[in-house]
Parts: sequence; C-alpha cells; structure tokens
Amino acid sequence: MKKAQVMTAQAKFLLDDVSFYYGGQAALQHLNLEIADREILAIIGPGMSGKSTLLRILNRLADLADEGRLEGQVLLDGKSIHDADVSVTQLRTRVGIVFAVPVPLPLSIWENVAYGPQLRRGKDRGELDALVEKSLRAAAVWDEVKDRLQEPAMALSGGQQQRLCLARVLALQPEVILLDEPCSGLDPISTMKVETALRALKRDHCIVIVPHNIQQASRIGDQVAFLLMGELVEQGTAEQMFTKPRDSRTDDYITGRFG
Amino acid sequence: MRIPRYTAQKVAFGLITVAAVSVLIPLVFVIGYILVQGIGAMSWEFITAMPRGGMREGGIFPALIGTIWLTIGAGVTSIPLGVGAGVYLAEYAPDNSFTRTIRLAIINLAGVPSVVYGLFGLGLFVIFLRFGMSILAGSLTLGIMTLPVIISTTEQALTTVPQSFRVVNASLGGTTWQGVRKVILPQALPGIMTGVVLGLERAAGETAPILFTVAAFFLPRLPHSVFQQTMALPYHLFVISTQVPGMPIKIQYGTALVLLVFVLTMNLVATLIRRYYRRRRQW
Repeated sequence: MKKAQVMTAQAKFLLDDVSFYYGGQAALQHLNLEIADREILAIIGPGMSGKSTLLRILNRLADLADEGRLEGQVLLDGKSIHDADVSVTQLRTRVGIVFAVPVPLPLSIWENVAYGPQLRRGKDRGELDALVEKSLRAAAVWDEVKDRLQEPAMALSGGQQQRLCLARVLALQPEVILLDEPCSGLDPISTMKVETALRALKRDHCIVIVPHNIQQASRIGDQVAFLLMGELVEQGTAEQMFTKPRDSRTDDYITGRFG
Repeated sequence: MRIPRYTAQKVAFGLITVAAVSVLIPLVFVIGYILVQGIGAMSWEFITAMPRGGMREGGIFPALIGTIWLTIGAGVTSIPLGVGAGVYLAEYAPDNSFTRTIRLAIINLAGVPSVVYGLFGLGLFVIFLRFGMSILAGSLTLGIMTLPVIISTTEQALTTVPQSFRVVNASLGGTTWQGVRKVILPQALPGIMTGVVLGLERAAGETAPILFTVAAFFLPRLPHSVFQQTMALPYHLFVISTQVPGMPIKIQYGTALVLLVFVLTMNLVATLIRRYYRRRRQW
C-alpha cells in the first residue's frame, strides 16, 4: 500500500500485490508493478509466465475465466478497477486489447472498426466514418482497405487483419492499449508497420505489449518487465534491462541461456 | 482362423454401404407409392374447392388452409419462446442445479407422446382457459410440442459459433446481449432455422395434438378468427381413411400427397436458405 500512495501521481496503472489463480493453480504471484502513461511497457518472459493473464487482468477480461480468482489491487488513475461503481464495459473501452491471433468479427471492415463506438449511442454516420478513417490510418492500414470498407473483414490478409484489430481498439479511443504478441503471425514488413504505429500512439496512450521476442522488446519498449513463472523478477528501463540487469535470471533469459 | 485385414475392411465397408442405401428404400417407396396413387386426384379444383358429397368429392381447400394457419400459429408461439430459451441456455445460463433442471425438462418434453400434448391442450387451453376447440388452442398445443426441438437446435447452433467472437465483443466493451444480438445470433441463424423448420414440419403433420383442440370433422368454410375450429390435413386424412365408407382411394392418397408436398416444400425452402447463408459464412 505504501508504494501505491507514493506512485499514484505518475503511474497510469498500479498493481499492488496482485495474484491470480486458475482454480488452485497460481498464474501470477504477489506482483507489484507500475505502468507509466505515454510509454511502452514490454512484458517479457518465457511461455506460461503469466504475461497474457497480466494483460487480461488490466481490462478485467480475466473475469471471464472459469474459476479465476484475483487477489490484490489494481488501480487505474488511482482508482481500483474492481470497485463496485466501476462499469466493466466502460473500463474495457478505456483499456483496449489486441490479441495474438487477430479475430475479425464476421462483419465488414467498416463495421468491425465501428463496432465498439456503435455499442454506445449518440454517434451519427458522419462521425463514425471519420472515426473509422482516423483509426485505420493510425493503425497503418487505411491505404490498403480504404476502397473496400464494405467487404468482409475476414477476406483480409493476416497482417491486415491484425492492424484492423488494432484500428478496432483505437476506435474505442482508449487511454491504454494492451497488445498480446500482436506480431506473432506477421511478416517483417507488417511487423514494422505495427511497431511504427505503436511508436506514434504512445504520444497520447499508455501501451503495454507482450512482444513475441526479445528483439521487439528492445526495439519499442521504454520500460521492460521480466516475468518468470508468475513472478515479477525485475522491471526497469529498456536500456538498463538490456545492458545491466540487476537479477542474474534476467541476464540469463535475455542472453538466451534459457527460455 | 483370423480373417485377413483387407477382407474384414471390405466386408465392413459393404455392410455400412448397405445400411446407408437401405435408408433410402422406405423413403423412395413411400413417396413413390403416394405419388402414383395420389397424382390422379390432383387438379386445381382438388386444391381450391370445398369438400362435397360426404367429402367423397370436391377438394381439400379448408383442410389445407387450416394446416397453414396451424403451422403459422405454432411458429408464432414456439419461435420466440424456443429461441429465447435456447439463447438463455447457450449464452447466459450458469451451470447450476436450476439450469440442469431446465435442460432435463426439455429432454423430457421432447419425449412426451404427441397424444399427451393433445390431452394437455384439451385440459389447459380448451377447457380451463375457455378457448374452446379453436385455432388458438391448437396452435398453442402444437407450439408447446415444437418447443424442445427449437430450444435444443438453437442452443446447439449458438454453441458452434466460435468463442473468440464473444471474447472480442467483451473486449470492445460490449455486453453479452450486444454480442448475441450483433454477432452471435446472426451467425447461428441458419442452424436455428433448421430447427424451426424441423419442428414446424412435425407440427404440420401431427394428428393427435389437434384431435382434441382444434380439428373439425367436416367444416366446409374458411375460419375467420382464431377462436374458430378448422379442418386440417392430417386429421382430414385420418377421417377420410377410417371414418367415411366408400371413400375413393384416389382422394385419400391425393390428400396424403398434398400434405407431403407441403412438408417437403418447407424442408426445401429451409435447405435453400441454409445453403445460401453457409456459403456466405466465413469461419
């Protein structure tokens, strides 16, 4: 709790002694983590370390897990996201997520991007059109789809689908963007486009990414957190983490001795 | 002595082929026989005229219209309730003793003999609710009989829609209902329609449930309100086959043919619509 009081001023997200269990199985244990606004935090670690679980806790998608159980506190702008007066649907528009495997809804490209905003009332077609274009541009996919907005989104290539899913999240006008290995299935050129888009987005967003490899973490991460078996080993600036990690396990992982 | 593997494979293949082909035989035989026997009765008059001369002459118009009304009535009652219940079970219901009881009730409902539905309809709608023998009472009875089929096919159709669509909907701030309405239900529609048509086909062809609740022995005029009785094809077929002496066999099979064509047309339309949607589906 002490930490919480000290850090609330600049941290967008603050995790205070957070643990998460699937049934009796602990996925995350006693995590303390600060996530700064207008920065990219890259969460690295071997498989099954709880990276995806961590992302899903931040917008409460973890609530949907069968027999999932959370302990500890998660503060967004200093307020617990589990407070009774927090609307979970509204939280998810403030904290958007892009998944590893892009899942376009079986709708048109336009309808996919406008899906989130349309769930809330009070936007006319003109406003939505503008929002769709802005989001697709920010996700670096506008030029490829602008002439086929009414076509099914599932007809797009994998790389285009992934950027469409990013655009769909951007259309929510979220404050935080979570990305779970968003480039795992992408070719290098699509990956580059996504990374460029993310660098531009961090000017007015808080971004948390689980990169699909360490190189990506070093390319785009401002902060890096290293998770191992559900435990946060260390967190620091990318430069510090990659040049002089404090924990020998971090060093071993980064230099490829395991993982 | 061991049978060589290759021989065993051939024998098994032969047997299951015979099984598959033999399924066709009764179908072809039934349709063929009714067609041959009944085609002679077919005329514009047979379809559109009132029965005359102790039903031995004229047409079956009021029975055909009655069956159409009853099928629509059964649909109006069972589709909203059945689809609603299916959506609840697939999308909302937690796994607890309450919903397990509901599921058990549906399975049992599907196993209730149709004549019991008829008696139930007589007791509840005709007598207790004072609807009398009427299209309303008959439609409700057929509707309830159709419910279990519609509920279980709706639930099944919904559960085949990928879970990832639901997660995406939630992640974009959608409520469960918004996801169901905008994504899940439209995707499940072809499957739901199959269940609806299967259920209504059965409703259209059943005799027992309408026996006590709506069907008239001989009523050579069209109903003009849901509180009236009507003739209906299955019951008419029963009547002219067993209750009227000296009935021309042609009329009997002609009536059966009309009922068969009615039901098969529903089937065909459903298949065409389903095929159309399947082709547009992208997952």
